[in-house]
Amino acid sequence: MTKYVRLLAALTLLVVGTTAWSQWAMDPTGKQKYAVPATFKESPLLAARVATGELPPIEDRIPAEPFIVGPGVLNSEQWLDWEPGKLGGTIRVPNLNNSGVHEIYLALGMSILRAPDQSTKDPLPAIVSEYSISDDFKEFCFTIRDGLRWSDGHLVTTEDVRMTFELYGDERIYPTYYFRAVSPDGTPPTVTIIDDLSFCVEFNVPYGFFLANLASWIPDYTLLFRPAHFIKQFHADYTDMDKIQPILDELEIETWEQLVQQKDMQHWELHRAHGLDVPSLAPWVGIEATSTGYTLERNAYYWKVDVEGSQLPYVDYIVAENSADLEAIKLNTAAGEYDVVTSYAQLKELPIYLQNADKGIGTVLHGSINNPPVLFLNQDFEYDVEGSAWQMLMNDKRFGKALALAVDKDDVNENVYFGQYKLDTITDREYDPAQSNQLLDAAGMDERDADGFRLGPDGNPFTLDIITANVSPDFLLVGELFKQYFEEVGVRTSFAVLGNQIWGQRQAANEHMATVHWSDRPIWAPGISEDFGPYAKGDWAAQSWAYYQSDGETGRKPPPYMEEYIELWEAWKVYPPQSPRGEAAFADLMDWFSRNYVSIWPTGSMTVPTVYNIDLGNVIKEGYPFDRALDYGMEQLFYRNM
Amino acid sequence: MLAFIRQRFFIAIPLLVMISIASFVIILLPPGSYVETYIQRLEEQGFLANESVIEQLYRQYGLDRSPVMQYWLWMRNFLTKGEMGRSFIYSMPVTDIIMERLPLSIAFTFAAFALTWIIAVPLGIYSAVRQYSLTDYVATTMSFIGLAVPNFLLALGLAYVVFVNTGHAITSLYSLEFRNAPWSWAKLVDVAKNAWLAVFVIAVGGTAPLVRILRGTLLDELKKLYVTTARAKGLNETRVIFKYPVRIAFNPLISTIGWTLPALVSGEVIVSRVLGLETLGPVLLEAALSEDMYLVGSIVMILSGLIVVGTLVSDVLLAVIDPRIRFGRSAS
Amino acid sequence: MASQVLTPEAVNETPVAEERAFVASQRQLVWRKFRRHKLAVAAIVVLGALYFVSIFAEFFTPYPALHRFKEFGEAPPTRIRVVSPTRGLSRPFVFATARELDKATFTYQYTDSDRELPIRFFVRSEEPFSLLGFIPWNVRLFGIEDPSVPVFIFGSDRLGRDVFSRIFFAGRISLFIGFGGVFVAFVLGVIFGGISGYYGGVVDDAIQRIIEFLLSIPNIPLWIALSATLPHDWGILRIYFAITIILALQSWTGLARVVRGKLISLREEDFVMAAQVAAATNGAIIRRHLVPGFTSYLITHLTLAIPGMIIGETALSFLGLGIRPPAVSWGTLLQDAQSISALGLQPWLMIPGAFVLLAVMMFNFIGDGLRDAADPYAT
Repeated sequence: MTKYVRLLAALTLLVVGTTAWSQWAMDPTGKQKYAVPATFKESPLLAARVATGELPPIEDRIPAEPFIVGPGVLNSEQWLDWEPGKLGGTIRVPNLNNSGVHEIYLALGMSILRAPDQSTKDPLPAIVSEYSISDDFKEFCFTIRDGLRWSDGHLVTTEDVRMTFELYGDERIYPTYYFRAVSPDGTPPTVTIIDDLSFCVEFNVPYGFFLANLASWIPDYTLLFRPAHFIKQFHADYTDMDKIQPILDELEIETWEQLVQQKDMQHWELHRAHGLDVPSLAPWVGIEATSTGYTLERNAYYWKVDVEGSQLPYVDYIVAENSADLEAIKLNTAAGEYDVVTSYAQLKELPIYLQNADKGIGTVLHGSINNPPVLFLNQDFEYDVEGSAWQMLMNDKRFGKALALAVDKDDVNENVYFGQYKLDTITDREYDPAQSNQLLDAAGMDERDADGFRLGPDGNPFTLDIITANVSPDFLLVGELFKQYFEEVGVRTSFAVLGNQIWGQRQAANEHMATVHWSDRPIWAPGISEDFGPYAKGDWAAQSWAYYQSDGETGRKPPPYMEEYIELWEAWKVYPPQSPRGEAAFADLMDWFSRNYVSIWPTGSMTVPTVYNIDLGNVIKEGYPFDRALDYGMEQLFYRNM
Repeated sequence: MLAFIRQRFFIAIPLLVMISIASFVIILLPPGSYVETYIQRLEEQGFLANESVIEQLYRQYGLDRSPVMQYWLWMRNFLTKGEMGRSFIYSMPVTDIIMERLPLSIAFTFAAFALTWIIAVPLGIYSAVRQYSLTDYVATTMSFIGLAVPNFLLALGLAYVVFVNTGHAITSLYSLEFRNAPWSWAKLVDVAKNAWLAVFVIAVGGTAPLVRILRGTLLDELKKLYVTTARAKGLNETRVIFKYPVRIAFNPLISTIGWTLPALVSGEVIVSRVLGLETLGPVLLEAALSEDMYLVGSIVMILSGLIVVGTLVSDVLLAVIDPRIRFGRSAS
Repeated sequence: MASQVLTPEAVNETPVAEERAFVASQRQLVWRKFRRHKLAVAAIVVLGALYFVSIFAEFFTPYPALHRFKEFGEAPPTRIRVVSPTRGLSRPFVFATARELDKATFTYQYTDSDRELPIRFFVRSEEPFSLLGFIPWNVRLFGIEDPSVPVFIFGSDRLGRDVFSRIFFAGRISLFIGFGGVFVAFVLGVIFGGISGYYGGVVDDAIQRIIEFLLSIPNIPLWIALSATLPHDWGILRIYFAITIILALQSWTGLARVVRGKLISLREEDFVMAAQVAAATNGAIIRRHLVPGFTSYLITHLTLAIPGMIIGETALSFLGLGIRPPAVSWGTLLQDAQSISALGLQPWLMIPGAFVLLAVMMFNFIGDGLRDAADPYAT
């Protein structure tokens, strides 16, 4: 109920503010930054196949008007002096236990619209050739790039879109509606197919935030486009069971529904063994997946060319050789065995990489889409326990502020991060143990036990129980420091590290009082990541959130400050996140975080290195605010000397 | 003799069945399943899973069935079709992964086993002949050092030393140019270039017990009257030692084959992980940590099977050498 | 199992009629032989010292395990000097140092100031503590008067904690972890080995199969599965105890085999038959006649099992399954050393490895000496 009231409020806001943002709301956008080149060039690898008749000529493989990449397209000109590259070569990337290769995830994550860097502001049409957004942010219309083809040569049409939404709504395949970008009211959008290339997606409520989903590599193009012709082969409504059964037998799958599920995948899976045959729109397609690693080859039908007409990606292959151990990856990195190392490169090993510059490796320091580990305080812990001391403390924001003030940010930064991180924390920047002590006294923790630790506000012994997962080495260091800081102001603290899985399960069961985990703050603002949410990495109010999501069926009735959070979150969803209104709503949301202490920030933005083959071109400049610069744009990397 | 082998063989079969059940139970013991592991990995990347994705994954991996059913299907496919299910991590048939890596694992364990003996036998003989001498102490100390340095530290330490001195990082069994090449002499040389370190680290870890046994048995033999007699007859010392005492001292050594193998396999898991070698060990470790159940179950079953066979071989060998064993109890 | 050989000394001892005297004299005999293994004797002294220092770590080390010097992370071992540039030969002293990050190489550089600070012995501790958990104490063996200047005998870790101090606090866990596990292994081994060896037949066969079964399972997945099932809310002590039991689960089998083998050879002996004829109960026979016969084997075996547990603990930590920080054990300390940056830049973080090496070697020497003394056949 309250949810709808809030929606109404948001709607009213929307009407009142119409004049303010109608000038921002977009006209149909189809302009490209650069003109289509007169002729196209392709990799010698493909030219040879065209010569033997294996492939049609390049003009027949790419759209009449391909997506043109030049200066300022994939990265803003401030951070990259873009130059046209040479075709060919192989990029080697690290691969820890075949568990998922970050570099490949990003290299294959193709969004429907594309803005430079990690932005979602005024994105260019990418997979579509034009798009428009209605003034009330309810209707989004698209025209698919004419001549765009799947990696198997099939044309992309609105049938792919129709099929995608058919799958979303098919309870046989997905028991609950599976569309990632549902609007805040929880209802799915209506899709209208206009012709072979044009379609519209309409939401029941204003949902400007949808633009972020369209321009983000996390949901990627599969949000709206799945290869219908391919999936139909496994779908009993489209193909006789006689033909499907042999495939089921071979793959040892019981039902066709499961088969469709398996073949209907996002970019996370494309390079894995069961994704090799799935047509994609990504720059590379998997050609080999064994227990020793992955090999990807350029997509012959890829739809981007550079300003000089060379078909992207520049590089022919990506190879991700499996290593069993992180230290082996670091040693390999130092030995120059990889061409791009992003997520496994850390400041700690930077001296080693600098020492080995003669092995042809370069390093560049830049920001990160992640933040250093943050302490999340679970607002819903013991919510159903009568007289819980923890609940008293969570409702009294002085406790959170006291914890924030007890953390010596400079110490964390100097000793864990070489003094390289920024201190733009969301919670208090100062280190003030005296004030912290006062606040704790005021919050009812003024009594001490025999060991000198503070009793809880209920007069019983109190322990702040911090539990983290064994994910990253700095979790341990930061966790140990938290323990030290809090004990210095008299709060007895225990700190334990669990295996990732047990941690996850306890998290889901609402058994954690407090936990340490990452957050993606630098990409919150563009709407690419929402892991500040009460249900994401920190799970700081998952029960309240569940209540809101289920309209009160499960979970905990949110306390007033959580109601406020939900209101602010809904207000944020109305606008495109990087529109002026969207940015203002986001500022309100962040202000809520700095007032409510659901997460305590030990430092601010990270600085991390990327290690790369010194011969690579189109490498980002030092100081770029995000990481993932080389992998989210890997298609534009090239070798100067081949 | 045949009866003895047959008897031992029939004991091995229920043992293997028990092992297969145990390996399945082991992987079901920890709470959760591969789906949670997988989702958590994606969440670290920014992916947010909802109930329906989780449900879908459970069904996709067949984890919605009961454990007994899972075991039954796994065993049935193994016995009827020789298939061992699919790996979740690699999303490929388990048999493919095992086939890819098992030969290397076996070669590896054998190389380590051989090197263990090559190091241990001379050290053992030498330290027995010169008991309580400086050389005895040096030899014993050397074998203990191998035992006492944690092997993961030794492996990484040596790999780093090699890297600093040669610029070559031993982090894989193959250099890149040979990764997909068919087997050839050059590839073999390349593999040896990367494998020696791991073989060495595993082998030095296993020498101490062998040295100890050999030294002990030999010391005892050397006190026997026939040795004194031989010496009295004026035989030269080398002949005295090698003619009988050394041969007899080998008996208990052979009986150790059975339990040396599991130790080598375990050592291989850790060392191969550190050095990134493409053997079964690191796969087993990762699979166990991620609860990739069919992969773990199958690898454990295969390795245990090999160990059972190893024990069988050592028992048979011992029976061949020492007739007393055949009629009495098996060696301890 | 080969038959026991009676050395001339042993032959001289056997005619002694009284059983108690027999046992006692064998002990003397064992000790006499043991002393000939000089390394083993030396090992007892070294190991004893290691245990002693660890037990009284609060006294012997300059800082508590979690004590931090915020400004002195990753400091190399402090150089203790005896020659002062101004005063010539002096009592041991250190220079106060300052840290700076070299931006070109991204490493911390420590430079000495000219401030000399003598090392004092029997210094008063900043905070009082207790020895053995109950004796109030406030004096430490050595330290520096100015508590803001650290003396890091073995350098410091990332957070500026003294590696030297941490090694001995960690020793409390690592040096004792073997005992719990060995105790469990001992009980299981003696019971199952005893039953197996004494009764023989079907029981023996069954137990042998169980042993073979346990030995055939690679220990890594077993460890992983068992560690993953440990409840997190157990305290460090309980986790620690559980880990020892995990380590013991497979190691009892070795002991059981030794016990069984020894029993089989002993039960054929005449004195056992004599006891049976005299209508002694099975229990009595085992207790009075058989157990003394292989006590020395048991001691030897146990001595050799402890270092295996110490190594096992470090391996579990390496796999991320053992004792976890902030608890300190040699395994957790070595986790810090297990990285190429530590190898290349902070090699002093590997020093805990030297202590593992030392402890394991010493146990092995003692075990070796004991075995030589007791019986050369034991495996």
